[in-house]
Amino acid sequence: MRDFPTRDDAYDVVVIGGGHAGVEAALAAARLGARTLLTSLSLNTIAKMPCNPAIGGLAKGQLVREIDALGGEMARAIDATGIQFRMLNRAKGQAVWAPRAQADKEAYSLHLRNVCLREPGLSVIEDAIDGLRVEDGRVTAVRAKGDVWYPTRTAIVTTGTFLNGLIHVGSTSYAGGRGGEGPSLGLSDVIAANGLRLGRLKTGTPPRLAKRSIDFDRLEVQHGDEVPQPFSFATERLDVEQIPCWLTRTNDETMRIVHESLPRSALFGGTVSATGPRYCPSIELKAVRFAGRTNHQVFLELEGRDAEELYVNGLSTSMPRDDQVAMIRSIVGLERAEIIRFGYAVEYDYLNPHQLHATLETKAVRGLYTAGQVNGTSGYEEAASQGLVAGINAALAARGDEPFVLGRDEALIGVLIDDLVTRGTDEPYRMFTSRAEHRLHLRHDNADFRLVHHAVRLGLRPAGDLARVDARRAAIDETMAWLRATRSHGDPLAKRLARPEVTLESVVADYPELGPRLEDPRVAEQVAIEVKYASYIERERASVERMRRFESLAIPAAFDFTSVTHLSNEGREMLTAARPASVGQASRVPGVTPADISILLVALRR
Amino acid sequence: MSEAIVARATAAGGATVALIRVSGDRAIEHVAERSDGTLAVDAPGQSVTVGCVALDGCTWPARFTVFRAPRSYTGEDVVEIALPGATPAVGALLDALHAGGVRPAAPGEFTRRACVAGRLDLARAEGIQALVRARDDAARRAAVELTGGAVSGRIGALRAALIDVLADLEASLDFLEHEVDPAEADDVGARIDALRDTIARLVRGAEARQRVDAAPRIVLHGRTNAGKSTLLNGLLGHERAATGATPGTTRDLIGARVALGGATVVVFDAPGVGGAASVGDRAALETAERLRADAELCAVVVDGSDREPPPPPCATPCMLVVTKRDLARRVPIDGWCDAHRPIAVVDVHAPSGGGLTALRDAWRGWAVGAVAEDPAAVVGSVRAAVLAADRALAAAAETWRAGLGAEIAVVHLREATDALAGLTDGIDDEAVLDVVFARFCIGK
Repeated sequence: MRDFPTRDDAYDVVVIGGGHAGVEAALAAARLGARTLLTSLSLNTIAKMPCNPAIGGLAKGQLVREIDALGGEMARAIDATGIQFRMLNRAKGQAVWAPRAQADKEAYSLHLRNVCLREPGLSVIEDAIDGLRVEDGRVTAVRAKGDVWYPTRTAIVTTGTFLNGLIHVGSTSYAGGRGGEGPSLGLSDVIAANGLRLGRLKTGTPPRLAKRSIDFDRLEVQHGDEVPQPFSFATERLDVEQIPCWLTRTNDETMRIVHESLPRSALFGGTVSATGPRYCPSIELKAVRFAGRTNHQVFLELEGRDAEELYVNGLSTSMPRDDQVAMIRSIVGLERAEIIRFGYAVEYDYLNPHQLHATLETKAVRGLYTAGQVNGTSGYEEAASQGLVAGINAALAARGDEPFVLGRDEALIGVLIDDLVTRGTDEPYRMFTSRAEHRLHLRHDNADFRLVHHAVRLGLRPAGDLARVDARRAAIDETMAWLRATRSHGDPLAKRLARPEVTLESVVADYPELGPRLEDPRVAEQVAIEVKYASYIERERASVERMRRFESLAIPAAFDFTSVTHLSNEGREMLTAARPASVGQASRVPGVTPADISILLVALRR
Repeated sequence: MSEAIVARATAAGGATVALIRVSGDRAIEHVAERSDGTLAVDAPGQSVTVGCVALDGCTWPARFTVFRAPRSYTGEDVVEIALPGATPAVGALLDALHAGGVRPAAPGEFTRRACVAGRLDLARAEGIQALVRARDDAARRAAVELTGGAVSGRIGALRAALIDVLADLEASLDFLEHEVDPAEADDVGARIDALRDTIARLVRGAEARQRVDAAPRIVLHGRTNAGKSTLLNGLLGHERAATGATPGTTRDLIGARVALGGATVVVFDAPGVGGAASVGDRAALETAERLRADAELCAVVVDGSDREPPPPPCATPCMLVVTKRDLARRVPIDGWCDAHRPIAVVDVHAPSGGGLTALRDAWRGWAVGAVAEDPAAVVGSVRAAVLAADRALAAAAETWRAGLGAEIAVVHLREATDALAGLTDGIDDEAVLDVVFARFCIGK
């Protein structure tokens, strides 16, 4: 492990933007020993949750646990400030469970701000960054308003939705990165001037309501899990008094109002031309897409333990103010609701991530990294994942070490980044487990087994953590071997346990040797899962091996696809744009056909 | 460019013009050396030169067609030499080129080079193989469809339908119930079954295609003196089989190719059942037994004046041929037809040719029928991919019905999509290419 070069005047890493990506990037870089500076337009908005006051969810919960395994901060922050915890997909197989929690918004933000302000090696400054200095294709400094320069070896842009941000409510538009906050101007121009192409995306957010104006008697209550499961592997147990949330539904009248308002809605009325998220659609989009349905679920979530504000989950919108009022008031329980913050759409510049290496460094400018929503993703967890990887890589690059890249077969974060840099995105990218070809392996419950060794090697976690994980792994393997060797009515116990209706508990009574092996609840949990999924995880692994052969067929960096005369036109165009590093990556580039792959294989063999 | 290879491109035998093809490094120079100066070493691509070849003191007229890389069949430099066929010229030229360092081509090597040069994908290459082997119109039509990419289209449609089911299952895992309509249990099972039906039809078409290519076998089965040999002679138009009034005339197995205008079948005339067996006959009888078991169609031949048709020898599809229709047909056949469900019943009078057209039509219908249903043939490596997909689909249906959950079914369905995408073990393997191209004739 190398040392950072000593230069009093320069930083190793400057992080531009203190959102979920920026915080993880800054902390990781500092913890790797880099001299790091975190800048934010406002100190008060570090790690702010501008939309859903929640962390986790389907696929996202897995990301959070991977961030934790790698030494990131998000999981600990939500464990400390969560007000309701639920494990999702409980009705389905354990391999697809995912943790989610509602946060006390302000407590969450404060928690992470304080962690940053206490982190040795990390400086924090409230400043508006509006420029970069690039010399010989490499970043050398970052400029703040007033012509203040911060010399640095690397810079990480984590500006979220702020670049040339434009807020829309109905037909009213004004510059802004988020509700109540100004945009970031100037940086986009600098980025574009250095050969990077920017696009426009939009995202929406729902209105907020005053708690005192809600008829809770008419709403259905939903509670958190009886025994909440922590996100962080370091948290033994959650001692938290949980807050419920409330459920209601839209109805015919609600949707009629939405339909009538469509021409006036910023998203539909033509004011916003950028592409929006397909999977977190506004109520306008739901009205159009699911025209036959009128009873969409609406969840009311308190934004903090003692808060008076409710977030309306499911009603993201940019309709004009009057229409928003009418829509809300048409819903059962919300007849007298007061809107304290209107829903809006924000349009912003983003960098299509196929312009990035797998380290999240831009291909055009060395030392310049981008992470988070500015790369076209949606979601705090997707942002934090990228921030962590960018922060690690910027620090490693600053001291001349080998970069850190996660494979698609070892982490959902690996899938996320590979998808982004290989395919790019032209709509807000959200993580789904179906994007992972190793879904059964990349679970929330085994993130530490998969990733702690990386964290320890990098120095983000103490060596003791790896020893603990290894010991557990050994115990699990021994127990699995014992189950395969022990016979019950002629069949190995493992085989009997593979049947859906047979539980580990039911078997423990008959086998006294088994109980002690399962004393550690983590071991018991992993054994229970592996025994059900072992053969399928094997099949996935076989798929991995097959894929790995294609992955290991490297495509030289300067390979000229135009010289391969018989590629399909679209395939050639997409391959030239994506510059995949392997045949496996190439096979995932949209527009590339299997015939193209055959031809490419043959061309590479020559 | 690889080392130069040469082979005769037209079939050996009595052709008026023989074509020899040379491909590879310095192909044009090698041929020019033999051309007595008539072929220029710098002849442009796509050019035709009329000249001669000088061999052992003789000169023979020759026409040279030059193709320059990459615009040639193999992507390399290619020269095609047209010579008078059925003369020593062809053999002598081949010898001379071999002596000059041009290697004799291995079977299928030209097409293999075309494939490696990226000018053909595997499915198209196999189409050319099928084209070369085609012995009749139906096979040729199917082969032409194959080279035209019809197969890729069918596979593509199958893959799209498969991805639909996969997407619904994935959605049920990645979205909460209230966000998306959950996949109905029955629906998923039914959709997987439908995909397997499509594959079964594709493969049946392929098997039928292979059957036609290999010429399906029809065995004539019946009692001694039922008129089997006369029938066969009538079909062939000459005395291929020995006939006679004495029962038990046919002792040997006789198989004859019968062209049916669109299909070819091989008809075997077996010794009649029920006759006394002598030691010498037993071997023939055993072979006949095996043949009856192996044939794809059993034509039960019965004398129109007989008491009733004999039962078919095994479970093969059968048909009934009633001979000697000049005599009154008295044999009761309804009961037999109910029991054995023949695909057709035909009355014939072989000596006069009566009924033979109807018989030919029935046979052609049977041989080509399954293929007509699905003219695009799925052969070789593509077939392997499709069958691998089917195995995965069967597993998916089984686990889904056992209640094992969408995340398990998805594993199998993903295997199926991988198979159809060509990302299976071996499609890119050298070994597979070797096997595929070894099935070609030399010169192709």
